[in-house]
Amino acid sequence: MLNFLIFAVLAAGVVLGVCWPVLKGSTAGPRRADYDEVVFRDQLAELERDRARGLIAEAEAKAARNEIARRLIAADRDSPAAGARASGRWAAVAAAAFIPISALALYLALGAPGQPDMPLRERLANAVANNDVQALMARAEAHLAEKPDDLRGWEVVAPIYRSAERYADAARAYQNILRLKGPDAGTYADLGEMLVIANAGLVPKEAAQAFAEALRLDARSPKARFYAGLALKQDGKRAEALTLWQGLLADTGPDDSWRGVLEAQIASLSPGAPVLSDEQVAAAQSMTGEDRENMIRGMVDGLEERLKSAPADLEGWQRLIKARAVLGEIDKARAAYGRAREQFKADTAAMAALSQAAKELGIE
Amino acid sequence: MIAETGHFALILALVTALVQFALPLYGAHRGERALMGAAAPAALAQFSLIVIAFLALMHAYVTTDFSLANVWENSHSAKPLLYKISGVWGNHEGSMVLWVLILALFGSGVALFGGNLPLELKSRVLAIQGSIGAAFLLFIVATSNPFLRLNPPPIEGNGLNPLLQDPALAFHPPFLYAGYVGLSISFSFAIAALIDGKVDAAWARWVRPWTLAAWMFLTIGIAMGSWWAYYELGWGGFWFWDPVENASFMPWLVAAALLHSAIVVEKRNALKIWTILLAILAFSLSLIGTFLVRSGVLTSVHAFAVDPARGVFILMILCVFIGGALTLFAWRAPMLKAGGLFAPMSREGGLVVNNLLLCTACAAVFIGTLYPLALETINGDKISVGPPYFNFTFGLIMLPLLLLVPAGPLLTWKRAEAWPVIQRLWMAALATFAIAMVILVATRRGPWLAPFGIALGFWLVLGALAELAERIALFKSSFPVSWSRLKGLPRSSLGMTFAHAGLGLAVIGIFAVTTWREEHIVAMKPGDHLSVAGYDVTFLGEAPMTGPNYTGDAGRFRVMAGNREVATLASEKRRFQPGGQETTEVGLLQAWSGDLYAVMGDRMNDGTRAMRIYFNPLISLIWLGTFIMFMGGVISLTDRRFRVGAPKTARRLQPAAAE
Repeated sequence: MLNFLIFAVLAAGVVLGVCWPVLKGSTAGPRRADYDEVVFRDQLAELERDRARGLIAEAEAKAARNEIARRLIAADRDSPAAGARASGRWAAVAAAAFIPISALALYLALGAPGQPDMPLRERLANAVANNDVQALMARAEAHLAEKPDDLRGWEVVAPIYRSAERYADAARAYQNILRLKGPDAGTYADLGEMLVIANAGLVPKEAAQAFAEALRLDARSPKARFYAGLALKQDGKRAEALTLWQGLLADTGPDDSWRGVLEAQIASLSPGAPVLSDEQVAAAQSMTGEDRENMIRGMVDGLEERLKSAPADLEGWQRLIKARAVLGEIDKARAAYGRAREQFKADTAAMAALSQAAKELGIE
Repeated sequence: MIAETGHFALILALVTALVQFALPLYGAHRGERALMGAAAPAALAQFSLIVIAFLALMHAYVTTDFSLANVWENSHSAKPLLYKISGVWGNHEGSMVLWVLILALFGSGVALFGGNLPLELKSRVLAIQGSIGAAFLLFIVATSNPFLRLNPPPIEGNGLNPLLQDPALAFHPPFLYAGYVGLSISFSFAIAALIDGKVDAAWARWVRPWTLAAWMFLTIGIAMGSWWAYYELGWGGFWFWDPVENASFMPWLVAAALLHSAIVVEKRNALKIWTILLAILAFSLSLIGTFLVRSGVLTSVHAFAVDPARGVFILMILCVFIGGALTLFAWRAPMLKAGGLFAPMSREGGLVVNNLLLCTACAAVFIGTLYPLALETINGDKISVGPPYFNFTFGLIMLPLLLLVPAGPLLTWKRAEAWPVIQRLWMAALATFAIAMVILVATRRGPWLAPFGIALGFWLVLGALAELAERIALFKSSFPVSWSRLKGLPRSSLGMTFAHAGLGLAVIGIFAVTTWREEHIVAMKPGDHLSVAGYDVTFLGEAPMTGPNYTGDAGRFRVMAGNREVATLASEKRRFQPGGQETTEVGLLQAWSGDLYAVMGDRMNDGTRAMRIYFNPLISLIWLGTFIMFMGGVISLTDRRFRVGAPKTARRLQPAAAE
């Protein structure tokens, strides 16, 4: 608000300063010839000085004097009377409106009204009060650069790095925690996880070592087991990965946060899972329309088969219903919808999602 | 809040500039005094608003407010305060704000001190000035806005180009801009006269001081840039005929021509049309310079703006102003009345020769700078026009000019005789000849150019002094008489003596450095020594070092002359954070006889360092000469004929009008 008050004062100052003289309007003043005359008289005086200093010869000085005198007379003769009309008021009024309106319109289009100044020092000092994560991090980093052996500091910044998606920095923080605290299964697993995410989801060698270390310290560590399975899967050892993950699933309670991810991964390894490899995609692109439809139908059938053996997959059901509807097999879509409702009848959230999807597809 | 106020003030300045353009121009066209009265307050308001915007931006830089995208891109928390301030114009957006700030400053100068200008002329000048301001403010707001915000703001910035973190460069842009922009006033006066179809007598009195001021600032700005290139880039030279340098040198040459032709307009009312054309050309070259260095057409430390939208925008501004001005000139110039008559052999005639030679020299530079660019645009060929072309063509054109400079001031106005001039210069000519002979004999095998070039410089200095001695009748009358004549001399005359003598000193320095310079490129390990121009230079070794925002290695050299230790020089290689860009700091021993210039290069495989050690004889004379030229301008500006009063009737009428 204060901002707009200042803007108003500025704009009012300009409008008053520029338009007021026009509206008040002085109409009389010296003629242009009067100005010329002052200069010509000064030129005459200067000519006299130059003559005295020998910069111009006597005869030329005389000729020059005549030239100036002629100009003086001509100026006096040519000079029109100074204008005294005052019909320019409308122009001043237009300017008085134009100045604030166009300035404000431009400012509102380009500016960030209300955004305060954010000097660095103040941000660092009030980081906590402002909940300024960047500033908090900068402070913590400065502190850790000075005291790299502060275990507590590393423990604080590691998860913040993680949520700020600075995974390499997070990995560095976990390495420091390990250095200061000694080996610990959870920290090793976290370190490995950060290395994996920093590496675009592929498990690098250092990460695999970290998971191995974590499992050596705690063979039941869910995170380490999960990523160890991922490493196996990425190595093409699908059966071993499946065994490992199914073991993990058995130890996983229904409320554990990783359950969904784990089930999806297991589903992706289950026989008949519609995994589209690059070859399949390429093949689909080179197919005729009919072949492509057959391939898609085959995949959808595969999905249905899979849901029979592992029915606790809401997303899978939704995909199936949608696929059937899109393929025009409305009866099969309705049937799948019915079975899904049966499966999730105890789960109100899932029921709501299913009925929402059914409404959108027009099968309910 | 300060940042947003700055943003609003900048936008309001744009709007005010538009009003400053429209109202007075319309008023002058209709002959309405009241509307014309809006010009001066609008110019002052525009200036105040840009000051607010500039200070707001500076505040953001000093307090390191990374919520401004511009600050984040160009500043860094660990930068020293001086470079936080100079960082404001060390980038494209901020430097454009500085540009319009200086433009508005000059405009408000006309508004405040233009009491002796006819109202019509003053209004039109301010209107044109307003239109230039509006064009560049629109450019800033639309394509280069420094006040755009980031939310949430980052915590660390990208930093200023380390090459620009240098005291000489902190002040080089403001001076250069003052020069470029000062030429806008002459331009506005020229356009106002063309619109009016009349060159007022006061017109001539105004164009020269403004041109002089602009020329002075250009001189010092170019010298600072050259000085910076000399000791910061570590190439050992001071001028490379680089397109960026030429971009500032061309307006300087035309401004120098304008400066001289304006004398004729001012004193003799002649050469008016030519002067108008020169005024248009001088500012056009400033705009072209701005375009060349800012559009990214040229790659250099100045090319901040590689965004093509900006290049196109500046090109449009260029076309409108230059094209419009030249069209107006072609249409209106024939209507202007010619002024005083003069014989070819006269002071006026001499100044015409000066103008022709300076403009030809500028054309040579212009072709050498733009031809490669034009060729590349047309058929993609890349050619490089280098120093040999410039040295030859430019030097050949300047030679007759420099030879004639001492004669010019001795010519009388309207009609002159050759014999008195020769009579007054023969002593200087003799002394010059003797100096050339002495140098020739002393150096014997040295480059043949050296004695002649240096003698040319002496000819300028001695010629300027001879003219001064003649004016104050030195040795012809008693000393007190001479002294009182010196005090009675017009300041402009004294300023000219300074400027011409300064030019001579610079010429001496330029020829001495280019012909006599010693250059050694050697691999050295600690303990090695080298003898350069009578100095014995020993490489003592290197040590790691840490600065506020860089780390690096400092190599130290001991310099002995005879058996005496003269100095210890340090040359550094610095690596700046962030980015890791490397810069070189030169170890420089300055003396009147010349500079010893040591640069530590890269480390070689065998553990030695590649060292470049130069001796640049008399190079200080270049900087001293340009400074004396600058002082000549300052002295000339205090001349009394620039203080023409306003008409008496005006003084009588103004109180009445204010009631």
